[in-house]
Amino acid sequence: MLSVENLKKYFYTSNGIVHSVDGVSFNLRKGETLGLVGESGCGKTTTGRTIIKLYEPDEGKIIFDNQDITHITQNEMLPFRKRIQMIFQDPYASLNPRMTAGDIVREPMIIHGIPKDEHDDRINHLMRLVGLNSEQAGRYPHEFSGGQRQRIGIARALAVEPELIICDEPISALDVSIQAQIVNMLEDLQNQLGLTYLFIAHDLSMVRHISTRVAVMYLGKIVELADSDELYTNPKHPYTLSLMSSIPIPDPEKSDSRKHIPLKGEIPNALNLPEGCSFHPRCPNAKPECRSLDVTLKDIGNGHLCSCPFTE
Amino acid sequence: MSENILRVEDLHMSFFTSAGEVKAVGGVTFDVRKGEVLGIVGESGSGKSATMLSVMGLQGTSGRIKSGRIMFNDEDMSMMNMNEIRGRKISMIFQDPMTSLNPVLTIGYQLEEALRRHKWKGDIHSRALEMLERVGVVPAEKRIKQYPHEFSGGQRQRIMIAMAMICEPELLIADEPTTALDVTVQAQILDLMKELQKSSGMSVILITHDLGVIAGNADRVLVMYGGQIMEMGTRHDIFYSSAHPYTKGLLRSVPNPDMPKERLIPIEGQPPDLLNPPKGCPYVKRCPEAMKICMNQKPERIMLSESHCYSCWLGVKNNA
Amino acid sequence: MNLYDPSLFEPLSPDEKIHSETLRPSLTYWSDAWRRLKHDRLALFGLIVIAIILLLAIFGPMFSPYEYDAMDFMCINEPPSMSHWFGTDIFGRDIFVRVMYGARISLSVGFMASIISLFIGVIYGGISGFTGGRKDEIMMRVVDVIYSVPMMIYVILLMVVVGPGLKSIFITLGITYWAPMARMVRAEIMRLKNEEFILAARVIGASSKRILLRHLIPNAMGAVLVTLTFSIPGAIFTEAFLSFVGLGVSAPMASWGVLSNDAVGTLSMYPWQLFFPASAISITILAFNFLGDGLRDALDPKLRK
Repeated sequence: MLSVENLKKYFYTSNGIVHSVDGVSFNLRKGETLGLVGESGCGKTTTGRTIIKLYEPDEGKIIFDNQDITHITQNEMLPFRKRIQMIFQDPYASLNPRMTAGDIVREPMIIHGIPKDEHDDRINHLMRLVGLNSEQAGRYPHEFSGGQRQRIGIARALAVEPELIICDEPISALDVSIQAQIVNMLEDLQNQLGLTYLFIAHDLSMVRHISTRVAVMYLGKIVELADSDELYTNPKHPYTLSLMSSIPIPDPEKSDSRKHIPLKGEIPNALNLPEGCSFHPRCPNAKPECRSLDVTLKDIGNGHLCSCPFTE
Repeated sequence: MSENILRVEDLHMSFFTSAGEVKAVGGVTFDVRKGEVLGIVGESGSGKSATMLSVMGLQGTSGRIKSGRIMFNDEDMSMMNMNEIRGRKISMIFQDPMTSLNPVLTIGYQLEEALRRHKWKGDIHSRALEMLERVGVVPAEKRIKQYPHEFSGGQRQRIMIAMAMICEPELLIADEPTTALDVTVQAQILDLMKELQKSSGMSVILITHDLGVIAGNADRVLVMYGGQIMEMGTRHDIFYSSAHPYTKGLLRSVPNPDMPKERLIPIEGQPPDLLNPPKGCPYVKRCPEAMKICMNQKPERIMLSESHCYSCWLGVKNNA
Repeated sequence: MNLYDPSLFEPLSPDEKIHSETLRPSLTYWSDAWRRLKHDRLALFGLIVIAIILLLAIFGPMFSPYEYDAMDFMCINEPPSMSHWFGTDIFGRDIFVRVMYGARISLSVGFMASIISLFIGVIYGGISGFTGGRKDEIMMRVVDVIYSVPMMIYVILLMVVVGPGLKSIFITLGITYWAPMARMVRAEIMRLKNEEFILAARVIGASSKRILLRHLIPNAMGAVLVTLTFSIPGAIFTEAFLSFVGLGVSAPMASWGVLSNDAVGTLSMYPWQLFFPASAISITILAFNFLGDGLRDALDPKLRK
């Protein structure tokens, strides 16, 4: 449905070039959920925003439904905006505080020329679909709680009946008890409407729960990609291994018995990337040749892709 | 001397805003023992941070402690000079280290300032260097001359920990110390805190919303909701034999690592409106087992064992 | 445990739970701000003072038995009394009615300046901030140029072309007063345009015009209103100053600056002639500043809860 090939997005700042997305490739199949995980600064959000053309890609290709949308203009993009939508991270910042919930959901309908007489019915339907009642359409965002605002954001994305939704950390700003509500709702909507998700997050346990496949990003590159169970039970890349061992487990005994693989230091600045494999300065099993390694994703069996050549 | 370093008794605290009184803490009683890590878990608006601000005397101009007592080493804290306690005997670290560090001063100056303020006996400079080394900001001689913006988020949090511990406090309050950090860095910081706590023997109050962080780091756990303590016990009590419907709901709403694809069981509804809190149990509107009595009467605290207690009318019903 | 009535331990029905959900009344952004402004005593005081001055300026002269330019040589330079509340001037004109009349000129200058800065400043700053890049650069340099030329130069030039009077003051204010507003709006738009709700609008395919008019400018209006409130006293003072030095309104028109100027010569003998118009200027400027301060606090998004 969507295929991204060697996508690159650089930002030119006064300090130099930030290699935010540095050669990302993946395919998204219809009806699946692809999780995109990584630490802050790894380029996962930029990847999502570049796919939906909020940023102009510098290199590579974005192919949606067999059409190349990499370099089309904003006007040509308009019909695709009906088919690809996005849900944002911050439920407080992603809704215009001066518009009522109903008007926020109505706006995409106006832009995409849905007949006026259908608007109110559709708004009522959408509000119920995301678990709000239609009387709440007249209220302003600040009168809702975080979880309810996120529901309004989802209703806005659904207003144009999209096929693909890019979820950019949709639950990370929410309370634990609300996260589960939103995740369940996203799953229900996927089943009812046949949606495809690109689910960007840093909460690894939620990503495992919701995703069919998971891609792990580090410094603008995908280092490992596999079916979610495969990735979590059998991680290969040393970065993934360490990431998995750092997830806090809500179970005291398991937490105590688990071995944690510590990483040296922190994610380096994307301004001057390390030579070769960009993970080698932090890698617990780095070898001298990693400095000059040309890292590409290779299939190590059953569609499990990994960029580290030194896995057993 | 008792074995408690801190005791909070029936604390009520409110913030006064133009929209009205926000009852942030509504009758909280607990104690912190010497040398333990007490985890406080709760969602936003649960009153966990407000409780700690009251302990530190940092509730600000709009916040007011309405009733209750806070005892530090068996002495009433309202009788003490907070400026001598804060930073010396009780320290606090916050979620965002950048806002807690002064951007125009070197970290060395800021560390030494803390020592000077509390009239540290001994060489101030070497003490600052020693602390930086202990928290892993190396090479300390070089880094001590740098400014906050030259450090990454994780290192800043290390510096904050160094600053909080430089005067050897008896109690460290860590308010969401790792929430702003990535998981791999979070693990590093939590390991560091654990190690420092063990070697110094101080008490730690670890506030977080992350059940995983609590499970791995706290000796005892306090579960807060709507400004009240719902359940309190050792981490085994809380994670393996939780009694309160809220604790149970919270544990069910995160993915089970053994059955990751299992459908989640969320807690329905929205958090309570603290401007207009329910008269009875704060959890009543979301509780699957809510009863008539929960609407109007605050539940009593019921002891399940020496270490484990909870506040819920279900306990009264089951006893009857 | 028969302390409690067993019926209290019956489960709550779903209806009872929903019923207990208390909904707070719906508050729009502006009504919320008004609620907070009401609690700010100084701001409320400022607002009331401005309202009184406005009412006096519009209706005051109608109810006065005196005309602002009617001379009465029987009672010149009289001190304040029951018949002449603020006394009379050297031509026997009632100072009270002249001060009220002056309020008309001062306030109309103030509102004129605010309307200009509202229209030109908001649109100019909005476009500049929203497009960004080279266009923004050029537009802002134009603002810098307007800003850097001293106002007196405009005034003196206009005096030559148009001659002194209210008209040249309006034109001067028109040329200069939108520049700070444009700068402020641009900064505000630059900040807002990276907010997620603007990204969301772009994702749903909203046009630039729609984003600017529906999303950016309405959200900048709070800051605009505050800037406006602070710029009005500046305009009032500018007019008073220009009239005082003789470059603005001239007699028998009664602006506060003219009244002050007239009174200076006789200051040692009839101090009230300066006291009243000068107080009028001070009180008005103070009132607008109080209101502006209050508005800034009331509209501050950081204080919203």
